[in-house]
Amino acid sequence: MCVSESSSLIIRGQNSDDWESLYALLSLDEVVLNTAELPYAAEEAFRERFANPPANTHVLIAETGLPSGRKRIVGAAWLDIQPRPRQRHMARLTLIVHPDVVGSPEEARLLEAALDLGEGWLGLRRIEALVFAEDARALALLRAHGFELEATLRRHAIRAGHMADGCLLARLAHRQGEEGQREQGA
Amino acid sequence: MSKERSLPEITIRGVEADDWEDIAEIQSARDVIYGTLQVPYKSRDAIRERTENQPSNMHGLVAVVDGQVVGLLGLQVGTGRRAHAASLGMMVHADFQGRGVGSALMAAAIDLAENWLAISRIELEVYPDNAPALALYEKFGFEREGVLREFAFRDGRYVDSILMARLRPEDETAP
Repeated sequence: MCVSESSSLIIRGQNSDDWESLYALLSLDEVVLNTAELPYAAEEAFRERFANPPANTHVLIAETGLPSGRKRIVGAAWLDIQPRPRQRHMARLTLIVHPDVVGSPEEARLLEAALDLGEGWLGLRRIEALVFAEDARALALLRAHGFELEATLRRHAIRAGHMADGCLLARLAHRQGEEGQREQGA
Repeated sequence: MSKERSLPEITIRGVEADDWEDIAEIQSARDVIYGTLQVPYKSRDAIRERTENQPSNMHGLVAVVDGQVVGLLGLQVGTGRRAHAASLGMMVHADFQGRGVGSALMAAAIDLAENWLAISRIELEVYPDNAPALALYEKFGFEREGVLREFAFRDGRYVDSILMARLRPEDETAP
């Protein structure tokens, strides 16, 4: 099913019954591939983990309202604030979207909403994301939003049968003024 | 000066619940806290609780000199798609630094990780101004993978960290 041009996107917080849609999203091979998750996740264990996120995890759900009136969850973003007292200024961002909306404006809006929440409302100074070096699309999306590559992790994680490198990127809130604009213009 | 005294034999063993008081003493020194992600004024109860209840994926080692725990190292093994990787943290008593305690702990941790736990990647973070720690890690084959900006709040300001990792030698050239 494709998302029509006329569909409207809603970014909202997570409801307790959203876990089923998240389970469906994270059961897609294309989605699992670029995360740290395992395929063949057990539904019960998944619900346990995702239905009631801990207080330092903020979840955003991207939902499209179809012309028919039906709603469909097409993506989610997690901001996990570091629990250690000396790192509460930073969070790890995880973003997943349905293959239908990969590279779409909807995906960018979900990311922008997560940055707004993190920097504008939670006061985070540093938001980091760890993606696979092979995931060129994610790297490009993050770079276009002020993230800079900080480290390449050799043999970071297994990815469909081989050891893959990871890229740690971070966006510093206070560097997003003039510098951020210059980067985006470059 | 105690720093110039030669050190008697260093024994490395697994951490035990009774070690918590020595560990609390190590963690009470501001110089030690400075190089870690610990906070000062930590409750002794919290340190005891943490020492007594190590998570199952945490392998804790201590260095003992004359019956006193003077250093500790934690190796936390990843899960799922990172089961081959472990993150390492360590600290040495302020009065015993620069005397081989860190090297003894690190050698044991690498033996444990690579020869017994099949860990092929050990990673750690270190502050760029912690020259003795950087030298120790480089001596043991850890390589710099990048600088993490404003990674921690330390003594009133945000500071960077260096991410380092050691790959098991036989995996270093593997595809």
